[in-house]
Amino acid sequence: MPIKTLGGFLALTLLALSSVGAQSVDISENTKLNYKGNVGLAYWFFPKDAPNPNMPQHVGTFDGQIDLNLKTGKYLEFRANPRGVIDFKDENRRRFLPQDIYADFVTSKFELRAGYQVFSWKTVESVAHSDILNQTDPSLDFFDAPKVGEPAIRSRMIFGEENPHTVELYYLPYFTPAKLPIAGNRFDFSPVISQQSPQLAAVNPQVIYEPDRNKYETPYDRWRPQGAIRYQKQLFGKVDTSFYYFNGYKRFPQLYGVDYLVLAPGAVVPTKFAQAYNPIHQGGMTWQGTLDALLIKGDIAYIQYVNDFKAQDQVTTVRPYMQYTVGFEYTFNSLIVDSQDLGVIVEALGDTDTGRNSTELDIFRPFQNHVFAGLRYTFNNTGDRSLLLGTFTDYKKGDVIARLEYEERFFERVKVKAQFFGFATSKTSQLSSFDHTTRASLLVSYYF
Amino acid sequence: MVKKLLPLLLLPISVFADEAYDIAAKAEKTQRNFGDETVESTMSLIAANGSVVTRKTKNFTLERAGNRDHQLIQFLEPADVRGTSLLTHQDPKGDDNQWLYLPELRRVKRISSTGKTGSFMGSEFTYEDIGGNTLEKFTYKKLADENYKGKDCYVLEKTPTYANSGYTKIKMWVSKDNNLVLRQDFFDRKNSLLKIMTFDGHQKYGNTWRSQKISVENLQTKKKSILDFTSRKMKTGLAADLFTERNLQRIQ
Repeated sequence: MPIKTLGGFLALTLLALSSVGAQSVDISENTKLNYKGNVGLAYWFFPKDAPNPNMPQHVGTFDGQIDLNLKTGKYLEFRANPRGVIDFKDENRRRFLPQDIYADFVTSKFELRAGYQVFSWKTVESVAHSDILNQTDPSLDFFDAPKVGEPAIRSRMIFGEENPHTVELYYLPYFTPAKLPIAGNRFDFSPVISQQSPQLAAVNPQVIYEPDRNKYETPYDRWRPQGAIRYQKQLFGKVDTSFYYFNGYKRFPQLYGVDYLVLAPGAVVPTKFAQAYNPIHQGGMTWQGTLDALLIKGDIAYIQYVNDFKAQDQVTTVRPYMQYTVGFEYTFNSLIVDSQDLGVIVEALGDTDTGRNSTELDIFRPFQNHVFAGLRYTFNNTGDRSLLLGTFTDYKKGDVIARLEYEERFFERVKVKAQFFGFATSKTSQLSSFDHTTRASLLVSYYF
Repeated sequence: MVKKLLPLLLLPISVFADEAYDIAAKAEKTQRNFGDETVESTMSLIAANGSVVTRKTKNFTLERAGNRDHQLIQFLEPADVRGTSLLTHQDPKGDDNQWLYLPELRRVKRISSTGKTGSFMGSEFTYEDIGGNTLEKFTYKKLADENYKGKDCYVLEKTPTYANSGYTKIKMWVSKDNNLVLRQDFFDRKNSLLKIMTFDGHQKYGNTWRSQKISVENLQTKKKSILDFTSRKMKTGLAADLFTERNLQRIQ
């Protein structure tokens, strides 16, 4: 384990154990430190056979984060919210994630924030196409990938009083590549590549994580400036809307061969795949609002690559496309038992490239004809017990991803989450390669 | 003839309704003129078996013209929900605008009107109870006067005029001497008595009255919740931009 990670964890654990209730410290009249955090243990069990024998059937992790917020005077505050993850066996799943480490200058009409930041533009419950500013870490959890803090400067300007216009400008100077799952990780999707041709099957190529071998379409590599502008406004008194434009590298990478094997004269087959990043234009709109008793929400994105031909092979072309998620939420109160609630969420997910072969798509884009249906049953007891059932159903192919979750707080500081995440997919589905990641998991966290 | 008599027949009902409205208006007036308010609250949740857990919040309210108040509630305990914030922009006649900031998801989520009848922090209070219960959201009827805890009271029945309320009616006791609400009985959608809310320890801050303790007992589940208020301050000059969606994620 790297010394930095170990040190961070020791500090977190000591702070967790030393805190007895107090969650803020008044340093002086105008300076206050708020803190909170949690440490937890997670266990995953994968019941299905793995395509590779080096994929684990059991995974255990220790996870912790602390959130420190220092308010100094009227306008300035600082925040540090780092997170650490330690996989007990797999060294490639050990992380120190900065998440938020920033300084924030705030006035009533202008804000400026600089440092590592995690942003959220999400309004829908399933797939938020517009929530793109942060890189994610798919090797920790491919389908619920945590966001990675991005070095960024965000300024926000507010015009008007009662129903203001809000304009945000984002500048992200340094790109963070994704840590794709590699050999030994249960989410490693290298076996899918082998299925694409007999030649590839013969060499069993691997997806690697070697950042130095990543290819960037622009000569500035990771220093290629990226930016976004976002405008927010409440419409009709009940609907929060936002419109945005982003220019920067697509967060999820394409793959390109870096090492090759000559099988026969003229038959060269890649044995290793590294990541390739190409810049895009993305524009879109999100909304969430109330329509009588319904909560309506949506997320529409238009994506176009800056260049038609990808730098890594000068062959691949990608047409512009659109993706959307739209839906609603309704809550039934005291439907079965008094004071207990049932929330119903329905969302439709679509993609203008639906029906195209997955090899013609720029990246992994599995949700093209899906309906997300979610039921959340809330017991409203002192432990905030809840049960969640969520399903993604491909209404053309019949594929289903299901998630069943139980969550409850015990002894005021301990939270237990048990989850089942399962796949039932057809062979033509982009998700079929993840059938073996069907899992049952248990997470126990202590909050301080 | 009947047509001519109809206004006369309706007159007593109308007079009672006007009187009931006037009493309710006076009761509401005792709570106004605070400018802005900051208060910390400890909520004790008492299960049917007597076990107790506590929740802590810090509440900020900005009084605005026409009962369009803004309110921000920040959750302090339990530890896992610390940083969660609820923002309410009161609509004096229709549905309030409400947003909930969920720090774990870093998301601001709107709450629909049906969500407002859900429990607030696992207590017997609902989001509807703690939201803006302004005068114009109800119609009023005066019932017989009663003595409650040694005080002469008007007894009113108020009926929500907005959609998706969790209640069919609320019976309220208003003291005749200072127009303070002392008790409210809530009737569920089946018109059965659901819970009793009592207000104790009234204190006057300038011209504004506040109860220091609000208790609610659910007669159907036998659970109780008690809200105790401390460190109350008024007219401290809270800024209007504190009550905005963008400020929800900042711990005050």
